[in-house]
Amino acid sequence: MPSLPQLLRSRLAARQGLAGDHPDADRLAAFAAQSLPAQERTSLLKHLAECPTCREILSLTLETEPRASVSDLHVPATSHIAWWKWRWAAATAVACVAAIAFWPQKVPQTALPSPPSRPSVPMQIDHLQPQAAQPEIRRTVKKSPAPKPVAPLPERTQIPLEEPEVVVAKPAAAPLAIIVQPSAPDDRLAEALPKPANGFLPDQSKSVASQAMLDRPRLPLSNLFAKRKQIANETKSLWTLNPDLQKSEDGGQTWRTVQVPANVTLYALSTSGSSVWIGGADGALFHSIDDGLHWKPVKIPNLAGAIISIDARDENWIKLKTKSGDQWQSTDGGVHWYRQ
Amino acid sequence: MLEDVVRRSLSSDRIPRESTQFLDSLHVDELLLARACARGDEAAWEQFLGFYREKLYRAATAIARSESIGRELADSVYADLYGTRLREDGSRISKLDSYMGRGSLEGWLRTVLAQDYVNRFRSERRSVSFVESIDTRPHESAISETAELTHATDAALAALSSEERFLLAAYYLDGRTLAEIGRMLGAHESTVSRRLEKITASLRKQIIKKLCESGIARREAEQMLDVDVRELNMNVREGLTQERRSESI
Repeated sequence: MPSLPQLLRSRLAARQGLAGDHPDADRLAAFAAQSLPAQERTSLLKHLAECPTCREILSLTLETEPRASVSDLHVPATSHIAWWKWRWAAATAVACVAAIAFWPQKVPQTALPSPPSRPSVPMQIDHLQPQAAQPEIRRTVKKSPAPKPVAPLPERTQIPLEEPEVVVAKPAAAPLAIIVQPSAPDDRLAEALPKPANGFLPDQSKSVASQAMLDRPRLPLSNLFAKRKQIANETKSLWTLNPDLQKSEDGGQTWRTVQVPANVTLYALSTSGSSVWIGGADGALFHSIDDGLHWKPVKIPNLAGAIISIDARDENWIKLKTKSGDQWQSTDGGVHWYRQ
Repeated sequence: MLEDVVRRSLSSDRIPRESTQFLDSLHVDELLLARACARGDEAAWEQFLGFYREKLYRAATAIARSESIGRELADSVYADLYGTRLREDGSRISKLDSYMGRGSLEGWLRTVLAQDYVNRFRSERRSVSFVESIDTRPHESAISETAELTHATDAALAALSSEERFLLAAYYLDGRTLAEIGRMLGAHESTVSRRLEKITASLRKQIIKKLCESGIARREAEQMLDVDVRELNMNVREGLTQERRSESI
Protein backbone atom coordinates (compact mmCIF):
# COMPACT_ATOMS: atom_id res chain seq x y z
CA MET A 1 0.00 0.00 0.00
CA PRO A 2 1.26 3.52 -0.69
CA SER A 3 2.23 5.82 2.15
CA LEU A 4 0.21 8.98 2.63
CA PRO A 5 2.86 11.30 1.09
CA GLN A 6 3.09 9.01 -1.97
CA LEU A 7 -0.67 8.92 -2.24
CA LEU A 8 -0.88 12.70 -1.96
CA ARG A 9 1.80 13.19 -4.63
CA SER A 10 -0.01 10.83 -6.94
CA ARG A 11 -3.44 12.40 -6.46
CA LEU A 12 -2.14 15.99 -6.48
CA ALA A 13 -0.28 15.28 -9.73
CA ALA A 14 -3.53 14.06 -11.26
CA ARG A 15 -5.10 17.46 -10.51
CA GLN A 16 -2.32 19.47 -12.17
CA GLY A 17 -3.00 21.20 -15.44
CA LEU A 18 -6.74 21.45 -14.78
CA ALA A 19 -6.59 25.18 -14.01
CA GLY A 20 -8.08 27.57 -16.53
CA ASP A 21 -6.59 30.76 -17.92
CA HIS A 22 -3.33 31.90 -16.38
CA PRO A 23 -3.42 35.10 -14.32
CA ASP A 24 -1.64 38.14 -15.76
CA ALA A 25 1.65 39.47 -14.42
CA ASP A 26 -0.17 42.23 -12.54
CA ARG A 27 -2.18 39.79 -10.41
CA LEU A 28 0.79 37.51 -9.79
CA ALA A 29 2.97 40.45 -8.79
CA ALA A 30 0.24 41.72 -6.47
CA PHE A 31 -0.05 38.24 -4.96
CA ALA A 32 3.71 38.09 -4.44
CA ALA A 33 3.52 41.51 -2.75
CA GLN A 34 0.67 40.24 -0.52
CA SER A 35 -1.50 43.09 -1.72
CA LEU A 36 -4.40 41.19 -3.31
CA PRO A 37 -7.83 41.46 -1.69
CA ALA A 38 -8.88 38.31 0.17
CA GLN A 39 -11.43 37.16 -2.41
CA GLU A 40 -9.08 37.61 -5.34
CA ARG A 41 -6.25 35.97 -3.41
CA THR A 42 -8.39 32.88 -2.77
CA SER A 43 -9.32 32.69 -6.42
CA LEU A 44 -5.68 32.96 -7.46
CA LEU A 45 -4.62 30.34 -4.92
CA LYS A 46 -7.16 27.97 -6.45
CA HIS A 47 -5.44 28.41 -9.79
CA LEU A 48 -1.96 28.14 -8.30
CA ALA A 49 -2.84 24.87 -6.55
CA GLU A 50 -3.45 23.31 -9.94
CA CYS A 51 -0.96 25.13 -12.14
CA PRO A 52 2.73 24.21 -11.79
CA THR A 53 3.73 26.83 -14.37
CA CYS A 54 2.28 29.72 -12.38
CA ARG A 55 3.75 28.33 -9.16
CA GLU A 56 7.13 28.31 -10.84
CA ILE A 57 6.69 31.89 -12.09
CA LEU A 58 5.70 32.97 -8.59
CA SER A 59 8.68 31.18 -7.12
CA LEU A 60 11.09 32.78 -9.61
CA THR A 61 9.56 36.20 -8.89
CA LEU A 62 10.12 35.79 -5.17
CA GLU A 63 13.58 34.23 -5.55
CA THR A 64 14.85 37.38 -7.20
CA GLU A 65 13.17 39.67 -4.71
CA PRO A 66 15.52 41.61 -2.46
CA ARG A 67 15.30 39.73 0.82
CA ALA A 68 13.17 41.30 3.50
CA SER A 69 12.20 39.89 6.82
CA VAL A 70 8.87 38.15 7.09
CA SER A 71 7.63 40.85 9.42
CA ASP A 72 8.30 43.37 6.65
CA LEU A 73 6.27 41.31 4.22
CA HIS A 74 3.26 40.73 6.34
CA VAL A 75 2.68 43.51 8.83
CA PRO A 76 -0.94 43.49 9.90
CA ALA A 77 -2.73 46.80 10.07
CA THR A 78 -3.40 46.30 13.80
CA SER A 79 0.21 45.54 14.74
CA HIS A 80 0.28 48.33 17.33
CA ILE A 81 -2.70 46.76 19.08
CA ALA A 82 -0.97 43.39 19.16
CA TRP A 83 2.10 45.03 20.63
CA TRP A 84 -0.04 46.74 23.24
CA LYS A 85 -1.54 43.39 24.25
CA TRP A 86 1.92 41.97 24.87
CA ARG A 87 3.32 44.86 26.84
CA TRP A 88 2.98 43.11 30.23
CA ALA A 89 4.51 39.93 28.90
CA ALA A 90 7.44 41.96 27.58
CA ALA A 91 7.84 43.76 30.91
CA THR A 92 7.80 40.42 32.77
CA ALA A 93 10.37 38.98 30.39
CA VAL A 94 12.66 41.97 30.92
CA ALA A 95 12.27 41.59 34.70
CA CYS A 96 13.17 37.87 34.48
CA VAL A 97 16.24 38.59 32.39
CA ALA A 98 17.31 41.30 34.81
CA ALA A 99 16.84 38.93 37.78
CA ILE A 100 18.95 36.25 36.10
CA ALA A 101 21.62 38.79 35.23
CA PHE A 102 21.88 40.08 38.81
CA TRP A 103 21.65 36.73 40.59
CA PRO A 104 25.27 35.61 40.12
CA GLN A 105 26.58 38.87 41.62
CA LYS A 106 26.15 37.25 45.04
CA VAL A 107 29.30 35.23 44.28
CA PRO A 108 32.29 36.94 45.91
CA GLN A 109 33.95 39.18 43.37
CA THR A 110 37.41 37.98 44.33
CA ALA A 111 36.54 34.65 42.76
CA LEU A 112 36.56 36.11 39.30
CA PRO A 113 39.17 38.83 38.86
CA SER A 114 38.92 40.87 35.71
CA PRO A 115 41.62 40.36 33.09
CA PRO A 116 44.40 42.89 33.62
CA SER A 117 44.58 43.72 29.92
CA ARG A 118 41.07 45.18 29.81
CA PRO A 119 40.46 46.94 33.08
CA SER A 120 38.84 50.06 31.67
CA VAL A 121 36.10 48.34 29.64
CA PRO A 122 32.99 47.64 31.72
CA MET A 123 31.75 44.68 29.59
CA GLN A 124 33.55 42.88 26.81
CA ILE A 125 32.66 39.71 24.96
CA ASP A 126 35.43 37.77 23.32
CA HIS A 127 34.93 35.01 20.79
CA LEU A 128 37.52 32.43 21.71
CA GLN A 129 38.40 29.05 20.36
CA PRO A 130 37.31 26.27 22.74
CA GLN A 131 40.93 25.26 23.35
CA ALA A 132 41.82 28.81 24.27
CA ALA A 133 38.83 29.20 26.52
CA GLN A 134 39.43 26.20 28.73
CA PRO A 135 42.64 27.26 30.51
CA GLU A 136 41.02 30.59 31.28
CA ILE A 137 38.07 28.86 32.90
CA ARG A 138 40.24 26.40 34.85
CA ARG A 139 42.41 29.18 36.17
CA THR A 140 39.34 30.92 37.39
CA VAL A 141 38.03 27.82 39.06
CA LYS A 142 41.15 27.38 41.16
CA LYS A 143 40.59 30.76 42.72
CA SER A 144 36.90 30.27 43.10
CA PRO A 145 35.51 29.15 46.43
CA ALA A 146 32.65 27.41 44.62
CA PRO A 147 34.00 25.03 41.96
CA LYS A 148 30.58 23.53 41.19
CA PRO A 149 29.64 25.72 38.25
CA VAL A 150 32.34 24.39 35.94
CA ALA A 151 31.53 20.72 36.51
CA PRO A 152 29.93 20.14 33.08
CA LEU A 153 32.95 21.47 31.20
CA PRO A 154 35.12 18.30 31.18
CA GLU A 155 32.12 16.45 29.78
CA ARG A 156 31.89 18.97 26.98
CA THR A 157 35.52 18.45 26.04
CA GLN A 158 34.87 14.76 25.41
CA ILE A 159 32.31 15.36 22.69
CA PRO A 160 33.66 13.91 19.45
CA LEU A 161 31.31 15.86 17.18
CA GLU A 162 31.84 19.40 15.98
CA GLU A 163 32.84 21.65 18.84
CA PRO A 164 30.26 24.20 19.88
CA GLU A 165 31.40 27.77 19.75
CA VAL A 166 32.15 28.97 23.27
CA VAL A 167 31.76 32.62 24.05
CA VAL A 168 33.05 33.76 27.39
CA ALA A 169 31.60 36.98 28.64
CA LYS A 170 33.99 38.71 31.01
CA PRO A 171 32.49 41.71 32.75
CA ALA A 172 34.98 43.65 34.83
CA ALA A 173 34.97 42.10 38.30
CA ALA A 174 31.66 40.51 37.50
CA PRO A 175 30.46 36.94 37.30
CA LEU A 176 31.34 34.65 34.46
CA ALA A 177 28.75 33.76 31.86
CA ILE A 178 29.15 30.96 29.36
CA ILE A 179 27.17 30.89 26.16
CA VAL A 180 27.23 27.60 24.31
CA GLN A 181 26.11 27.67 20.69
CA PRO A 182 25.82 24.26 19.03
CA SER A 183 27.09 24.93 15.54
CA ALA A 184 25.05 22.38 13.63
CA PRO A 185 21.78 21.33 15.23
CA ASP A 186 20.83 17.75 14.50
CA ASP A 187 17.24 16.70 13.97
CA ARG A 188 17.72 13.68 16.20
CA LEU A 189 19.26 16.02 18.73
CA ALA A 190 16.04 17.99 18.67
CA GLU A 191 14.25 14.96 20.04
CA ALA A 192 16.37 15.08 23.15
CA LEU A 193 15.17 18.58 23.87
CA PRO A 194 11.82 19.23 25.50
CA LYS A 195 9.05 19.61 22.95
CA PRO A 196 6.40 22.25 23.56
CA ALA A 197 2.80 21.21 23.25
CA ASN A 198 1.88 23.92 20.76
CA GLY A 199 3.90 22.36 17.97
CA PHE A 200 6.65 24.98 17.84
CA LEU A 201 10.03 23.47 17.28
CA PRO A 202 12.58 24.26 19.95
CA ASP A 203 15.08 26.94 19.03
CA GLN A 204 18.28 24.97 18.57
CA SER A 205 20.40 27.91 17.58
CA LYS A 206 21.58 28.72 21.06
CA SER A 207 21.12 28.01 24.72
CA VAL A 208 22.42 30.40 27.31
CA ALA A 209 23.68 29.40 30.70
CA SER A 210 25.05 31.69 33.32
CA GLN A 211 27.34 30.33 36.02
CA ALA A 212 24.43 30.00 38.41
CA MET A 213 22.21 28.44 35.80
CA LEU A 214 24.73 25.68 35.14
CA ASP A 215 23.89 24.26 38.57
CA ARG A 216 20.26 23.94 37.72
CA PRO A 217 19.20 20.37 37.04
CA ARG A 218 16.62 21.54 34.51
CA LEU A 219 19.26 22.68 32.01
CA PRO A 220 19.55 19.88 29.42
CA LEU A 221 23.19 20.56 28.48
CA SER A 222 24.60 17.32 29.84
CA ASN A 223 21.72 15.36 28.31
CA LEU A 224 22.28 17.21 25.10
CA PHE A 225 25.97 16.37 24.95
CA ALA A 226 25.32 12.75 25.88
CA LYS A 227 22.75 12.56 23.08
CA ARG A 228 25.26 13.99 20.61
CA LYS A 229 27.77 11.38 21.66
CA GLN A 230 25.19 8.63 21.29
CA ILE A 231 24.22 9.90 17.83
CA ALA A 232 27.89 9.93 16.81
CA ASN A 233 28.26 6.33 17.91
CA GLU A 234 25.10 5.31 16.12
CA THR A 235 26.20 6.83 12.82
CA LYS A 236 27.25 3.92 10.68
CA SER A 237 28.83 5.44 7.60
CA LEU A 238 29.89 8.82 6.32
CA TRP A 239 30.38 9.74 2.68
CA THR A 240 32.45 12.33 0.87
CA LEU A 241 33.70 13.24 -2.61
CA ASN A 242 37.36 14.00 -2.32
CA PRO A 243 37.31 13.96 -5.43
CA ASP A 244 36.89 10.16 -5.45
CA LEU A 245 33.92 8.71 -3.66
CA GLN A 246 35.00 7.83 -0.14
CA LYS A 247 33.27 6.20 2.78
CA SER A 248 34.00 6.02 6.49
CA GLU A 249 32.43 3.46 8.77
CA ASP A 250 34.11 4.57 11.99
CA GLY A 251 32.77 8.07 12.37
CA GLY A 252 35.32 9.67 10.05
CA GLN A 253 38.56 8.30 11.51
CA THR A 254 39.46 6.24 8.46
CA TRP A 255 38.23 6.59 4.90
CA ARG A 256 38.28 4.17 2.02
CA THR A 257 37.67 4.83 -1.64
CA VAL A 258 34.53 3.27 -3.08
CA GLN A 259 34.71 2.10 -6.67
CA VAL A 260 31.88 3.24 -8.91
CA PRO A 261 30.96 0.94 -11.80
CA ALA A 262 31.90 3.52 -14.45
CA ASN A 263 34.87 5.79 -14.84
CA VAL A 264 33.16 9.17 -14.47
CA THR A 265 33.99 12.40 -12.72
CA LEU A 266 31.63 12.81 -9.81
CA TYR A 267 30.31 16.17 -8.67
CA ALA A 268 27.33 15.45 -6.45
CA LEU A 269 26.50 13.14 -3.56
CA SER A 270 23.47 12.77 -1.35
CA THR A 271 22.44 10.13 1.16
CA SER A 272 19.28 9.25 2.98
CA GLY A 273 19.59 6.30 5.30
CA SER A 274 21.13 3.46 3.34
CA SER A 275 20.14 5.08 0.05
CA VAL A 276 23.10 6.80 -1.65
CA TRP A 277 22.92 8.92 -4.82
CA ILE A 278 25.93 10.09 -6.81
CA GLY A 279 26.02 12.15 -9.99
CA GLY A 280 28.63 13.61 -12.26
CA ALA A 281 29.76 14.44 -15.76
CA ASP A 282 27.59 13.73 -18.82
CA GLY A 283 24.47 13.11 -16.77
CA ALA A 284 25.97 10.11 -14.98
CA LEU A 285 23.73 9.11 -12.08
CA PHE A 286 24.10 6.09 -9.82
CA HIS A 287 22.00 4.84 -6.95
CA SER A 288 22.76 2.39 -4.18
CA ILE A 289 20.11 1.15 -1.79
CA ASP A 290 22.50 -0.86 0.40
CA ASP A 291 24.86 1.83 1.64
CA GLY A 292 27.20 1.61 -1.33
CA LEU A 293 27.61 -2.16 -1.67
CA HIS A 294 25.88 -2.33 -5.04
CA TRP A 295 25.33 0.46 -7.56
CA LYS A 296 22.72 0.83 -10.24
CA PRO A 297 23.05 3.35 -13.09
CA VAL A 298 19.97 5.57 -13.46
CA LYS A 299 19.12 6.97 -16.88
CA ILE A 300 16.98 10.08 -17.14
CA PRO A 301 15.69 10.71 -20.67
CA ASN A 302 16.52 14.20 -22.01
CA LEU A 303 18.90 14.98 -19.17
CA ALA A 304 22.02 16.58 -20.62
CA GLY A 305 25.15 17.96 -19.02
CA ALA A 306 26.81 17.39 -15.70
CA ILE A 307 24.83 16.77 -12.54
CA ILE A 308 26.15 19.25 -10.00
CA SER A 309 23.79 18.83 -7.08
CA ILE A 310 21.61 16.08 -5.61
CA ASP A 311 19.20 16.43 -2.73
CA ALA A 312 17.70 13.16 -1.49
CA ARG A 313 15.23 14.25 1.14
CA ASP A 314 14.06 10.71 1.75
CA GLU A 315 14.15 7.38 -0.08
CA ASN A 316 11.48 8.52 -2.53
CA TRP A 317 11.97 12.26 -2.95
CA ILE A 318 15.07 13.19 -4.94
CA LYS A 319 15.87 16.46 -6.64
CA LEU A 320 18.92 17.14 -8.77
CA LYS A 321 20.34 20.07 -10.66
CA THR A 322 22.44 20.10 -13.80
CA LYS A 323 25.17 22.50 -14.80
CA SER A 324 22.82 24.11 -17.31
CA GLY A 325 20.44 25.01 -14.48
CA ASP A 326 17.79 22.36 -15.14
CA GLN A 327 16.16 20.79 -12.12
CA TRP A 328 14.82 17.25 -12.17
CA GLN A 329 12.73 15.64 -9.52
CA SER A 330 11.53 12.19 -8.67
CA THR A 331 8.97 11.39 -6.02
CA ASP A 332 9.08 7.62 -6.36
CA GLY A 333 12.67 6.74 -5.56
CA GLY A 334 14.02 7.49 -9.05
CA VAL A 335 11.58 5.42 -11.11
CA HIS A 336 10.03 8.44 -12.82
CA TRP A 337 11.59 11.85 -13.28
CA TYR A 338 10.18 15.15 -14.37
CA ARG A 339 11.85 18.43 -15.16
CA GLN A 340 10.84 21.50 -13.14
CA MET B 1 -6.36 56.61 -16.20
CA LEU B 2 -7.65 55.36 -12.83
CA GLU B 3 -11.02 54.60 -14.38
CA ASP B 4 -9.19 52.52 -16.97
CA VAL B 5 -7.33 50.66 -14.23
CA VAL B 6 -10.55 50.00 -12.30
CA ARG B 7 -12.33 48.88 -15.44
CA ARG B 8 -9.58 46.45 -16.35
CA SER B 9 -8.82 45.22 -12.85
CA LEU B 10 -12.28 45.05 -11.30
CA SER B 11 -14.24 44.53 -14.52
CA SER B 12 -16.40 47.53 -13.69
CA ASP B 13 -17.24 50.50 -15.96
CA ARG B 14 -17.22 53.10 -13.24
CA ILE B 15 -15.38 53.50 -9.96
CA PRO B 16 -17.60 51.91 -7.30
CA ARG B 17 -17.65 53.21 -3.78
CA GLU B 18 -16.07 50.09 -2.37
CA SER B 19 -13.11 50.50 -4.71
CA THR B 20 -11.74 53.40 -2.67
CA GLN B 21 -9.56 50.94 -0.79
CA PHE B 22 -8.42 49.48 -4.09
CA LEU B 23 -7.46 52.92 -5.38
CA ASP B 24 -5.62 53.71 -2.16
CA SER B 25 -3.53 50.57 -2.56
CA LEU B 26 -2.35 51.46 -6.08
CA HIS B 27 1.26 52.48 -6.71
CA VAL B 28 0.16 55.63 -8.49
CA ASP B 29 3.64 57.15 -9.03
CA GLU B 30 4.90 54.00 -10.72
CA LEU B 31 1.66 53.62 -12.64
CA LEU B 32 2.07 57.15 -14.03
CA LEU B 33 5.66 56.44 -15.02
CA ALA B 34 4.68 53.18 -16.74
CA ARG B 35 1.84 54.83 -18.63
CA ALA B 36 4.06 57.71 -19.70
CA CYS B 37 6.64 55.22 -20.98
CA ALA B 38 3.91 53.29 -22.79
CA ARG B 39 2.84 56.55 -24.48
CA GLY B 40 6.42 57.02 -25.68
CA ASP B 41 7.41 59.91 -23.43
CA GLU B 42 11.22 60.14 -23.81
CA ALA B 43 11.78 61.79 -20.42
CA ALA B 44 9.78 59.02 -18.75
CA TRP B 45 11.86 56.40 -20.57
CA GLU B 46 15.03 58.07 -19.41
CA GLN B 47 13.80 57.95 -15.83
CA PHE B 48 12.62 54.36 -16.22
CA LEU B 49 15.96 53.20 -17.59
CA GLY B 50 17.90 55.07 -14.92
CA PHE B 51 15.82 53.43 -12.23
CA TYR B 52 15.12 49.92 -13.46
CA ARG B 53 17.72 49.03 -16.10
CA GLU B 54 20.29 47.48 -13.77
CA LYS B 55 17.62 45.91 -11.56
CA LEU B 56 16.07 44.27 -14.60
CA TYR B 57 19.39 42.81 -15.76
CA ARG B 58 20.20 41.55 -12.28
CA ALA B 59 16.79 39.94 -11.88
CA ALA B 60 17.01 38.35 -15.36
CA THR B 61 20.43 36.89 -14.59
CA ALA B 62 19.17 35.53 -11.27
CA ILE B 63 16.12 33.96 -12.92
CA ALA B 64 18.03 32.41 -15.82
CA ARG B 65 21.02 31.50 -13.61
CA SER B 66 23.19 32.45 -16.54
CA GLU B 67 24.51 35.86 -17.52
CA SER B 68 24.19 35.34 -21.26
CA ILE B 69 20.67 33.91 -21.10
CA GLY B 70 19.80 36.59 -18.55
CA ARG B 71 20.94 39.34 -20.94
CA GLU B 72 18.95 37.78 -23.73
CA LEU B 73 15.90 37.51 -21.51
CA ALA B 74 16.18 41.11 -20.29
CA ASP B 75 16.66 42.42 -23.84
CA SER B 76 13.62 40.51 -25.00
CA VAL B 77 11.51 41.94 -22.17
CA TYR B 78 12.87 45.43 -22.92
CA ALA B 79 11.69 45.07 -26.49
CA ASP B 80 8.21 44.12 -25.25
CA LEU B 81 8.19 46.98 -22.77
CA TYR B 82 9.23 49.49 -25.41
CA GLY B 83 6.85 48.05 -27.97
CA THR B 84 7.90 46.65 -31.31
CA ARG B 85 4.45 46.57 -32.89
CA LEU B 86 2.35 49.57 -33.86
CA ARG B 87 -1.35 50.29 -33.53
CA GLU B 88 -3.40 51.61 -36.44
CA ASP B 89 -2.85 55.19 -35.24
CA GLY B 90 0.92 54.63 -35.35
CA SER B 91 1.46 54.46 -31.58
CA ARG B 92 3.55 51.65 -30.14
CA ILE B 93 1.98 48.72 -28.29
CA SER B 94 3.94 48.62 -25.05
CA LYS B 95 3.70 45.89 -22.43
CA LEU B 96 3.98 48.61 -19.80
CA ASP B 97 0.42 49.52 -20.73
CA SER B 98 -0.74 46.36 -18.96
CA TYR B 99 0.81 47.40 -15.63
CA MET B 100 -2.04 48.32 -13.28
CA GLY B 101 -0.07 49.50 -10.27
CA ARG B 102 -1.43 46.79 -7.96
CA GLY B 103 2.07 45.83 -6.90
CA SER B 104 5.36 47.68 -7.23
CA LEU B 105 6.66 48.23 -10.75
CA GLU B 106 9.85 46.40 -9.81
CA GLY B 107 7.89 43.36 -8.63
CA TRP B 108 5.79 43.45 -11.79
CA LEU B 109 8.96 43.55 -13.92
CA ARG B 110 10.33 40.50 -12.08
CA THR B 111 7.07 38.64 -12.70
CA VAL B 112 7.14 39.58 -16.40
CA LEU B 113 10.72 38.31 -16.60
CA ALA B 114 9.79 35.06 -14.87
CA GLN B 115 6.76 34.57 -17.15
CA ASP B 116 8.85 35.24 -20.23
CA TYR B 117 11.58 32.89 -19.05
CA VAL B 118 9.17 30.04 -18.28
CA ASN B 119 7.13 30.52 -21.45
CA ARG B 120 9.91 31.11 -23.93
CA PHE B 121 13.38 30.03 -22.81
CA ARG B 122 12.46 26.89 -20.94
CA SER B 123 10.03 25.65 -23.54
CA GLU B 124 12.76 25.95 -26.15
CA ARG B 125 14.99 23.62 -24.20
CA ARG B 126 12.29 21.17 -23.28
CA SER B 127 10.98 18.44 -25.40
CA VAL B 128 7.90 18.21 -23.24
CA SER B 129 6.16 20.86 -21.15
CA PHE B 130 6.14 20.72 -17.40
CA VAL B 131 2.51 19.65 -17.20
CA GLU B 132 3.06 16.94 -19.76
CA SER B 133 6.19 15.80 -18.00
CA ILE B 134 4.32 15.03 -14.80
CA ASP B 135 3.75 11.36 -15.15
CA THR B 136 0.17 10.76 -14.17
CA ARG B 137 0.32 7.10 -15.10
CA PRO B 138 0.11 4.83 -12.09
CA HIS B 139 3.50 4.59 -10.42
CA GLU B 140 4.81 1.37 -8.99
CA SER B 141 3.65 2.41 -5.57
CA ALA B 142 0.36 3.66 -6.92
CA ILE B 143 -0.50 0.38 -8.56
CA SER B 144 -1.68 -0.90 -5.24
CA GLU B 145 -4.01 2.07 -4.75
CA THR B 146 -7.52 0.82 -4.71
CA ALA B 147 -10.37 2.69 -6.33
CA GLU B 148 -11.81 3.40 -2.87
CA LEU B 149 -8.55 4.86 -1.67
CA THR B 150 -8.19 7.05 -4.77
CA HIS B 151 -11.78 8.21 -4.46
CA ALA B 152 -11.43 8.92 -0.73
CA THR B 153 -8.19 10.86 -1.26
CA ASP B 154 -9.65 12.89 -4.11
CA ALA B 155 -12.69 13.73 -2.01
CA ALA B 156 -10.55 14.72 0.97
CA LEU B 157 -8.34 16.91 -1.24
CA ALA B 158 -11.38 18.54 -2.83
CA ALA B 159 -12.70 19.45 0.61
CA LEU B 160 -9.55 21.40 1.43
CA SER B 161 -9.33 25.14 0.93
CA SER B 162 -7.46 26.40 -2.12
CA GLU B 163 -4.64 27.69 0.10
CA GLU B 164 -4.26 24.27 1.71
CA ARG B 165 -4.15 22.54 -1.69
CA PHE B 166 -1.60 25.10 -2.86
CA LEU B 167 0.52 24.38 0.20
CA LEU B 168 0.41 20.62 -0.40
CA ALA B 169 1.19 20.98 -4.11
CA ALA B 170 4.12 23.30 -3.43
CA TYR B 171 5.55 20.97 -0.78
CA TYR B 172 4.86 17.50 -2.12
CA LEU B 173 4.88 18.08 -5.89
CA ASP B 174 7.29 20.96 -6.41
CA GLY B 175 9.55 20.07 -3.51
CA ARG B 176 9.68 23.66 -2.34
CA THR B 177 11.21 24.26 1.04
CA LEU B 178 9.16 25.55 3.95
CA ALA B 179 10.94 28.91 3.69
CA GLU B 180 10.08 29.21 -0.02
CA ILE B 181 6.43 28.38 0.63
CA GLY B 182 6.45 30.81 3.53
CA ARG B 183 7.67 33.58 1.23
CA MET B 184 4.91 32.79 -1.27
CA LEU B 185 2.21 32.96 1.39
CA GLY B 186 3.74 35.74 3.45
CA ALA B 187 4.05 33.51 6.50
CA HIS B 188 6.90 32.25 8.63
CA GLU B 189 8.30 28.82 7.84
CA SER B 190 7.32 27.53 11.28
CA THR B 191 3.73 28.52 10.52
CA VAL B 192 3.94 26.65 7.23
CA SER B 193 5.38 23.63 9.04
CA ARG B 194 2.53 23.60 11.57
CA ARG B 195 -0.08 24.00 8.86
CA LEU B 196 1.40 21.14 6.86
CA GLU B 197 1.31 18.88 9.90
CA LYS B 198 -2.27 19.90 10.61
CA ILE B 199 -3.43 19.42 7.02
CA THR B 200 -1.80 16.01 6.61
CA ALA B 201 -3.21 14.82 9.93
CA SER B 202 -6.65 16.08 8.96
CA LEU B 203 -6.39 14.50 5.50
CA ARG B 204 -5.52 11.17 7.03
CA LYS B 205 -8.58 11.34 9.27
CA GLN B 206 -10.82 12.34 6.39
CA ILE B 207 -9.51 9.60 4.10
CA ILE B 208 -10.03 6.95 6.78
CA LYS B 209 -13.51 8.32 7.47
CA LYS B 210 -14.45 8.16 3.81
CA LEU B 211 -13.02 4.66 3.47
CA CYS B 212 -15.12 3.56 6.44
CA GLU B 213 -18.18 5.14 4.84
CA SER B 214 -17.55 3.05 1.74
CA GLY B 215 -17.79 -0.12 3.82
CA ILE B 216 -14.15 -0.78 4.69
CA ALA B 217 -13.36 -1.70 8.29
CA ARG B 218 -11.54 1.01 10.22
CA ARG B 219 -8.53 -1.16 10.94
CA GLU B 220 -8.21 -2.10 7.29
CA ALA B 221 -8.61 1.55 6.30
CA GLU B 222 -5.82 2.51 8.67
CA GLN B 223 -3.61 -0.22 7.23
CA MET B 224 -4.23 1.16 3.75
CA LEU B 225 -2.52 4.33 4.88
CA ASP B 226 0.42 2.46 6.29
CA VAL B 227 2.28 5.52 7.46
CA ASP B 228 1.87 6.93 10.90
CA VAL B 229 1.15 10.63 10.93
CA ARG B 230 4.09 11.10 13.30
CA GLU B 231 6.37 10.10 10.43
CA LEU B 232 4.96 12.97 8.44
CA ASN B 233 5.65 15.28 11.34
CA MET B 234 9.21 14.02 11.36
CA ASN B 235 9.54 14.69 7.64
CA VAL B 236 8.40 18.26 8.10
CA ARG B 237 10.74 18.69 11.03
CA GLU B 238 13.62 17.19 9.06
CA GLY B 239 12.92 19.62 6.26
CA LEU B 240 12.97 22.53 8.64
CA THR B 241 16.21 21.37 10.22
CA GLN B 242 17.84 20.86 6.83
CA GLU B 243 16.91 24.40 5.85
CA ARG B 244 18.41 25.75 9.05
CA ARG B 245 21.57 23.76 8.39
CA SER B 246 21.86 25.07 4.86
CA GLU B 247 21.23 28.62 6.06
CA SER B 248 23.93 28.26 8.72
CA ILE B 249 26.36 26.96 6.09
